[in-house]
Amino acid sequence: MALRPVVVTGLGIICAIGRDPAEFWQRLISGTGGLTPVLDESFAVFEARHAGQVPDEWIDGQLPESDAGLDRTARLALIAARQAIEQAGLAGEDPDRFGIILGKCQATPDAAGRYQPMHRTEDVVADRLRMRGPRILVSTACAAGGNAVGLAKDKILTGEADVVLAGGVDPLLFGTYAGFAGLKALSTGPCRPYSHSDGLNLGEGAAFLLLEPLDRALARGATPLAEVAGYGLSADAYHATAPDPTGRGGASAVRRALADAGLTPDDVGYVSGHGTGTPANDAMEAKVMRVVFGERAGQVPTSSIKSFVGHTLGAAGAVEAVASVLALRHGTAPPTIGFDDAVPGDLDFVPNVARELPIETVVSNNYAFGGNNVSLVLTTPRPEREYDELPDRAAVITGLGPVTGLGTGIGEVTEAIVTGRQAAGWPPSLDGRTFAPRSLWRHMNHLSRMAIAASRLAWEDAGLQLPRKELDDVGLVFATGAGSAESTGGFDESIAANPNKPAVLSFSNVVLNATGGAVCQTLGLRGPTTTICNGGASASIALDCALEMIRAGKADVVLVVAADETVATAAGDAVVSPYDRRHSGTVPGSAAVAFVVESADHCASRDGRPYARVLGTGHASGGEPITTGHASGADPANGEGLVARALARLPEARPELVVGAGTGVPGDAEESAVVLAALPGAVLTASAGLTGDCQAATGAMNIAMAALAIRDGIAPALTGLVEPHAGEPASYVTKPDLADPVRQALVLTAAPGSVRGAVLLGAI
Amino acid sequence: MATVLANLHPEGTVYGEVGDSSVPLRFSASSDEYRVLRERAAVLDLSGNRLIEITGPAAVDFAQRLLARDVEYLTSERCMMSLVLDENGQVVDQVLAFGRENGILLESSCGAGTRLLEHLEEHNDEGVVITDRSADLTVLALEGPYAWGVVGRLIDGELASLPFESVVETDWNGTEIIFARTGFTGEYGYQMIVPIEAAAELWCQALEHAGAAGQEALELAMLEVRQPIPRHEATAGASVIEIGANWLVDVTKDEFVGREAVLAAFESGQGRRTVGFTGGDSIPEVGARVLAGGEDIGEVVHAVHSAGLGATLGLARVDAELAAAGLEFTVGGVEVTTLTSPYIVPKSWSIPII
Repeated sequence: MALRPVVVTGLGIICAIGRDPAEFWQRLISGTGGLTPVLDESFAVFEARHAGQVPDEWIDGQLPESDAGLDRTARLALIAARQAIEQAGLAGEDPDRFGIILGKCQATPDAAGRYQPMHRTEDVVADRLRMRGPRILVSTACAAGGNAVGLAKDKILTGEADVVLAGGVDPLLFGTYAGFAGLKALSTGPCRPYSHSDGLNLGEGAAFLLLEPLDRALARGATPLAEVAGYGLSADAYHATAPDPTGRGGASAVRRALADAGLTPDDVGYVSGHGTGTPANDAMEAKVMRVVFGERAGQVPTSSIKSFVGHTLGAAGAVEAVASVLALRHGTAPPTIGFDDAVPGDLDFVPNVARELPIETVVSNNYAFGGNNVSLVLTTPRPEREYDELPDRAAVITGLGPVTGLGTGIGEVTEAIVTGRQAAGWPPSLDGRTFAPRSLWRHMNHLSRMAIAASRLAWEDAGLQLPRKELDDVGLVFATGAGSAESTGGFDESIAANPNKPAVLSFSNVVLNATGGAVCQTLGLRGPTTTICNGGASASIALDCALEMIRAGKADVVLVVAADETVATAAGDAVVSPYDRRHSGTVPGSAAVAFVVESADHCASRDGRPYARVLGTGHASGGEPITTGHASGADPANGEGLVARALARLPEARPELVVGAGTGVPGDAEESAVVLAALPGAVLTASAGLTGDCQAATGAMNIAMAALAIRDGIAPALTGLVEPHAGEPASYVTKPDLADPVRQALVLTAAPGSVRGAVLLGAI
Repeated sequence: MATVLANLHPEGTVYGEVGDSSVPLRFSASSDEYRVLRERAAVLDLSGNRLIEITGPAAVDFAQRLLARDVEYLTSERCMMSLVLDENGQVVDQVLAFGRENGILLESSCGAGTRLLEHLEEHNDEGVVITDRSADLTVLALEGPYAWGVVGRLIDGELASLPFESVVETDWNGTEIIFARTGFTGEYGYQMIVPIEAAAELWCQALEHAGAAGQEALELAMLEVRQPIPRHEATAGASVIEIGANWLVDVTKDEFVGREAVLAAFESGQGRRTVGFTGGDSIPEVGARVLAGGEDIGEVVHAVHSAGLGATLGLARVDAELAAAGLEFTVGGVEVTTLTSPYIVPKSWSIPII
C-alpha cells in the first residue's frame, strides 16, 4: 500500500554553527565545529565547560521588535519556524489546516525565569504564525525532534492538515547541565563521538521542517527538498537512562522506519547517527549498525553532527533531520569531527572530512532517556504518483485502569460512583498490592507508580494475555501535562543546594517520557511509543496517536496512559462543582488513568469484551475566546470558540451523554453553553467533580467514564449542581445510574488557551 | 543422575557424587580449568542442576509463596536467583528462576534437585503442575572474560551484551533453546537450556571456542567472588543471615515459606556471621575451630586452595562482631586474615564486550 507522499518544502534552523540553513550547512561541510566554553559564568562550577551555544546577536538580529520580550526558547523557535515557512513560500494558508508538532525535552522558563507549561512555546509560535490546525507537543526527551517529524507526517496522512511545521527546540539550562554533569555524562572538552566517546556536550537550538503532501507542493509550485518516506518508533523496555546494550530497541526503530517507507537496509546510503559521545550510546549504536546492515555495516557511512553542535536534546532530532535533508540535496555526508583516526574499528564514521557521495536515502536516528527510539527515513523526492488513502481500521476501547482518589481499578471506581463518593483532590491509594517487581517499584517515583498501576489494571481489565512476541509490537502513548512534580521538585532543590551534587535519580525522572518508559519496562512493551504534553488535552491527542498507529498497521494494541500529580496536600472535603454558577474554583488532584485501544479485529479474534468503539476525534487549537461573561463570546482573532471548532471536526454526533472537560472554573460556562446548544439531546457531566482537576489524567478519565457509560450504564454524577451556567439541571447527569442506554457518548478535553479535544465513542 | 554428556567427556574425567547427581569434578587438572575460566572462556556441563517446571493457573502464586524473592512479575525475558526456604527458615535450595509464558522454570543448585522437588510437591496447596524436565532438558554454561566472544561465534553476537539476568528464546542450529545472561563467578556468564538431543552437538561446538571446566574449578571461582554455594554453606541450623545470603531473600514480600523465621532471625540479631579468610597452605577441615586471641569464636564452613590467591581460601562462621575484614585469627594453629569480598578481582570487570 502506497500512502500519499509527504515532502519537506522548507527548512529552518538556529544552533551553535549557524543562524540559518545555509550557514549551518557551510559549517558542516567545512568541518568547523561550534563547541566552546560556556559564556555564562554560573556554569563555572562545573568541571566540564564546553557546550553548543547560540550567540545572542544571531537571535536578536533575526527577530522583530514585537518578539523581543519573549523567552529565549520561544525566540529560538520563532526564528527557525519563520525560516522554514519562508523557504516553503507559504502565504495565506488556511490557519485551520496549518498544524505544528513541536519536540521539546525540557520544561523551559518564561522571560521572568518561571517554569511554564510544556506547550507554551508551541502556543507562542502557533499563535504568532497563525496556525490553528493540529497542535502537538511531543516530549520523548532526546528523540522528540525526530518524533515530531513522524507525527507531522501522520497528521497529513489522516487529512487533518495540509501543512505541518515539525521540529524541536531546547535552550541550554543550568539545571539540565548540572544533571548531566551529575551523571558523569559530560565530556570535559569538545565531545568526540564514536572514537573517544568520553561524554557529551549539551547544546541549544531550534530546527523546523515544513511538511506538506507532494502533490500539493507541486501544484503550488514549491520545490520538494526531500520526502519523509517513513518513520519508526520503539521502546527499549530496558532502563530509565541507559540504552539497551544489545541495540535491539534502536534496530527495531530503523527496521520499522524502513518498513514504513517500503525500503530495505540495502537502499540506505547514509545514516545520521545519534552520536552523543557517551560510551553507552556509541557502543549501542555500533551494534545497531551491525544488526541492521549486517555485512554491509562498514560500507554505510554514519556520522554524528553532535560533534559540531552538541546535544540539543528535544531539538536534536530536528537539527539532524535538517542536516539529513541538506545531505540529500547536496549529495554530501557531513563528517564526525574530533574523530581520532587511530581508534580501530570496522564502521565508517566519516571521520573529520565531509564526503561527497550519491545519497538517495538517509536514516536519521535518535535515542532517548526512557528507552524511546526514533528513526526517520528521508529520500530524494520521487515523482508524483498514485496513492492509497490511509485505511480506516475500526478501533475499540477494551480495558480501563483508573487510579484516582475515588478508587484504584475500574471496579472500585464504579462502586465509588454508584455510592456517590467524592474525592476531589484526594490522592490515589496504591496500598495492598505492588504492580511491578519490588526491585523496580522501590526506586520509582509516585507518578510512575500510579501510571504502572493504571496500566496493569487496564491490561487486566482488557483480559489481555499476549505472548512475548506480540508484546514487541504493543504501543504505548503516555500523556502528561507536567510529568513528575516530585522528581522535578527534588531535582531543583538538590541543584539549588549544590549544583555539583544533583539528585541524579530524580534527574532521570525529570524528562517527561520517563514514566512512559517505566511503563514499557515494567510491562515489557516494545512497540511504538511516544509522550504527549498538551496539558489537559494530552489524553485525547494521545488517543489520536494510538488510532494512527492502529490505522497504519503499526500496532494492534496500544496502551494509552495519562498521569499528572499535584504537590498540594489532600483537600479535605473540598467540593468541585463543574458547570455550576454558584461555585467557581477547582481543586488540583493526582491521578493516572490508562485505557487499552485495540483494533476491533484483534479484539474480536481473542473474544475480548470491548467497552466502546471509537467513532471519531477532533481537536481545535488557538487562543481561547475572550471570556466576557457571555458564554458565546468569541475572540475575533480566532473566530469561533475552540469547543465549537473541535466539535465541528467530529463525524456527525448524536450523543446521549457528554463527559465534559469542566473542572469548576469560569471557562466551564462556554463549554456547557456550546455543548447544550449543539447537542440538545444530550446530558452533560464531568469527572473532575469527583476527582479534582488531574490535568492529562482528567482527560483520560473522561474517556474512560464515557466508555463505562456506554457498556455498563454508569456515569459520574454532578450531584450538587443547582444553578448551572447554561441550561437546566435536567440537562446534566445528576444520578449515576443512567436511565437509558447510551449509544453514543462525547468526551471533551481541554488545555485552556491552547487545544481542546473531542472524542466520540459509540456502542459496539 | 548421571550427565547426559558422559560419553563425550574424555577418559579420565573424574566424577563426583554431589547430592543426587554424578557430575564431572574435573576433566583434566582443576588448576588448568580454573585458569581457562578466569582468563579465557570455560564451558560447563551443569547437568547436575535439575530443571523443574511449574505450570497451571496458580503457578506464579505458588512460586511467589515458595521462593524467598519476588517473582510475581518475572517475565519470560528475565531470570533471577532466589533461595527456597522451609518453615524454619532453613535453606532447601538456591534456585535460578526463569519466567515463562505458562508459569516458571526453576533450576536447582548442583545435586539438590530431588530435595527441591520433594519440597515443592509437599507444599503444593495450589494444585499447580510440577514437572521434572530433566529427562528432556539440560543446562550448559559459559563463564569467562571472553565468554561473550564464544556466544558470538556459537550463537549470535547480539545476545552477548544482553543485560544480566535477561533471557531470550533463540534458535540454535534449528533447535529452540533458552539463552540467559547469568554468571556465577564474576566473569561474563551465560546459560543455555537445551533439549537433551541437541546438548551433545552444542557441547562439542562450544569446545571449539572454549575449554571445558569441571565442578571444582567452578566452585572455586564462585567462592572467590563470594557467590553462595549452598551445599557447602547451608549447614544444618544456620539461618539465612548467618549464611550471609540475605540478598537472596526479600522480606518486603507479604508472605513466603520461611519468612517468619527469617524475620525472627533479623530481629533477634543473634547467631554468627560468615566471613572469608586466607592464610597458610594447609586446607583446614570443615568444622575446624577458629580462634581469636586464644578464644573459640567459630568454625570453618568451607575451605579450598585458591589458585587465584595462591593460598588457602575459606569461609568461617564466627561471632557477629568479629565478622569483619582485616582481622587476624588462628585456624588449626595457622595464622589467617579475614577478607572483604570479592577475594579476587575478575578479569571481566576490565574487559568490555565489543
